Amino acid sequence: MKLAIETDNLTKTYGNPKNLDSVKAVQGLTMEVPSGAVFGFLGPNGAGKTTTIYLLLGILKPTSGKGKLLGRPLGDPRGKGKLGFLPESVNLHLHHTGISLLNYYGELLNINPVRRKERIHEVLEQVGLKESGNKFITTYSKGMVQRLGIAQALLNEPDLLILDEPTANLDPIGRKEVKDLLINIREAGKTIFISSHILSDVESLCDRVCILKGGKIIRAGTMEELNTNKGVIEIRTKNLPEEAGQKITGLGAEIETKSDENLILIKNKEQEFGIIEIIRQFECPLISISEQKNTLEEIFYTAVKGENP
Amino acid sequence: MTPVIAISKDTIREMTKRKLILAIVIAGILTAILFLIFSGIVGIISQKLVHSMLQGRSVSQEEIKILTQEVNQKGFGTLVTFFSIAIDLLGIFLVLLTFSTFLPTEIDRGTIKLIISKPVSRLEVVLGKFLAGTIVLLSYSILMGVMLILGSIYLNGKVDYSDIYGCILMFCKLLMMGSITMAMSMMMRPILASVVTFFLSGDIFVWVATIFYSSKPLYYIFVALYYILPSYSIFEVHNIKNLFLSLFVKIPPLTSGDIFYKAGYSMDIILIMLAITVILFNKKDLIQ
Ligand SMILES: Nc1ncnc2c1ncn2[C@@H]1O[C@H](COP(=O)(O)OP(=O)(O)OP(=O)(O)O)[C@@H](O)[C@H]1O
Ligand SMILES: [Mg+2]
Repeated sequence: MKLAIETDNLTKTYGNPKNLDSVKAVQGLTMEVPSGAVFGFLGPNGAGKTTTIYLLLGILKPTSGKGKLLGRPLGDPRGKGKLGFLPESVNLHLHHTGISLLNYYGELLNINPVRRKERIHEVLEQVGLKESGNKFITTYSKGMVQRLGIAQALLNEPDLLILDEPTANLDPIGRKEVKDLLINIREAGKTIFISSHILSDVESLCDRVCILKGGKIIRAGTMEELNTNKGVIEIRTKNLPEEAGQKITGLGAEIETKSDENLILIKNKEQEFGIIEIIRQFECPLISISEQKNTLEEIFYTAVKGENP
Repeated sequence: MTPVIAISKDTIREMTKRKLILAIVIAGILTAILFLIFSGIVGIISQKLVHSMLQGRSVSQEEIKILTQEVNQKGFGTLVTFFSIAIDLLGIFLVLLTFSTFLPTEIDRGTIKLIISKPVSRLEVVLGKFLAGTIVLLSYSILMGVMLILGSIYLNGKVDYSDIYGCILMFCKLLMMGSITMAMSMMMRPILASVVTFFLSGDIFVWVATIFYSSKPLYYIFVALYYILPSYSIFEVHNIKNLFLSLFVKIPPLTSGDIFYKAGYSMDIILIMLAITVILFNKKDLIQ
């Protein structure tokens, strides 16, 4: 398995570790992000997400530990040719227009002038800033700055995108646009490492998540692995007579009844057909049959609330 | 190498938008224009002076010409001294203001994050910034040098090499101060870095050492400091001290050998300071 990101015991302490007011922002972080994955990097405020991202990029120097980004040690510029990065707060050189700023970044990325011009127009189109490209950044709204931040991250058609709160400052339409953009990038087989508080966005996008708290990983895995309710089957029906209910609970399933609707939860998959048979016998309607799943929100809450590092 | 050029291009572009820097350059140009105007006035005054000196006496045209030139040179020498001091001071402001803020500003604003996320090494960031400062300073020095030459041609009818040497040495000294303040800005706030750079010259320790001549350990410490710290005064060609001195003794003109020696000295210090900057910048966490 090719890895886009790997870290080994990565640790960052702000301030002198000997001082009392030093902050252990990241503590012994070991993780692997496979190429092509969409990796959700979650955690409550102050968990150490941004710090970790800065360590990956070489903006911060680790207190200890090491890691690799696109096959190069952290901080090595050669690992960054195919990297796109969107910071938490997008700070731009204000003496530029949108286009001239992207041109500057294009130069830093060593994209040849002809291709650079093409790409600048493509990315401005992608983020919906085509009309404002020639305006000075000082005249941009917060959302427009965020969009320009996304544009610069896409400029070099990156193999790995690191996004810190990409939908911050965006209106609902902007958020949807960014999500669609990321889905397209995922389809192209690129790796996306995304930190976000908007769990519903992450849920539909990511195939792996890692939950951080107090600088330590408290949960990690594929969405499949984190789903603790895995295997529970949910059958929805209506007006189930008491007799049928007794037969079903006798098999070990649970029934929840709300007004005239009944929800049958089956833990043992083999009983599924027997229970359906019972429902048929009593001529009740089968409204739906589905596998129950935890929402990411539930996973997040139980992980963060349950853990006291 | 491209990132270095891209960074310095962007830095120069940003500098041209900074009002304070613009103000200094405009002040430099105004000083230069004043200098040229005063050169003209010196010419007129010296002519009048010669005429009044020679009133009633019969002298040949040749003698008048020589005398005028002599008076011209004295007046022009004084003018050059004051002009040099003015452009040197403005240059010091320009250098301290820019070199001390190059790197801290990028860090404080957070703009360095996006630069570092591109395939750019920290060494290239430092070199890009330094190159930008060098180009701006070089343009400033050349502009002022041209003004000096124009004034010289107008009054003396020929180019005085010590003026050109003076401008080269000013450039060397200012670039050296720039590199020092850049290194200092890695350890302290830009304003403090500027002040420290300004007073860092070892020159003062010659005087201090003579005061402590009788108490030997202190004397040697101060002499050592004089040699360790960079010296700014060796770059002064036109200054008040020299002007005053030239009334009593003939100061030998600078030779190109002197220039090579002094430029080499500044190059030495610049390389050491750049190395210190790179080492410190490499260790730094690039967040506010
Ligand atoms: N420059 C700094 N100096 C000292 N402590 C810091 C600094 N930056 C962050 N911290 C501390 O490090 C910890 C982790 O911060 P970090 O910004 O990485 O969290 P985060 O997970 O990104 O939070 P958020 O979701 O709010 O963005 C916090 O306790 C924070 O107070
Ligand atoms: Mg953060």
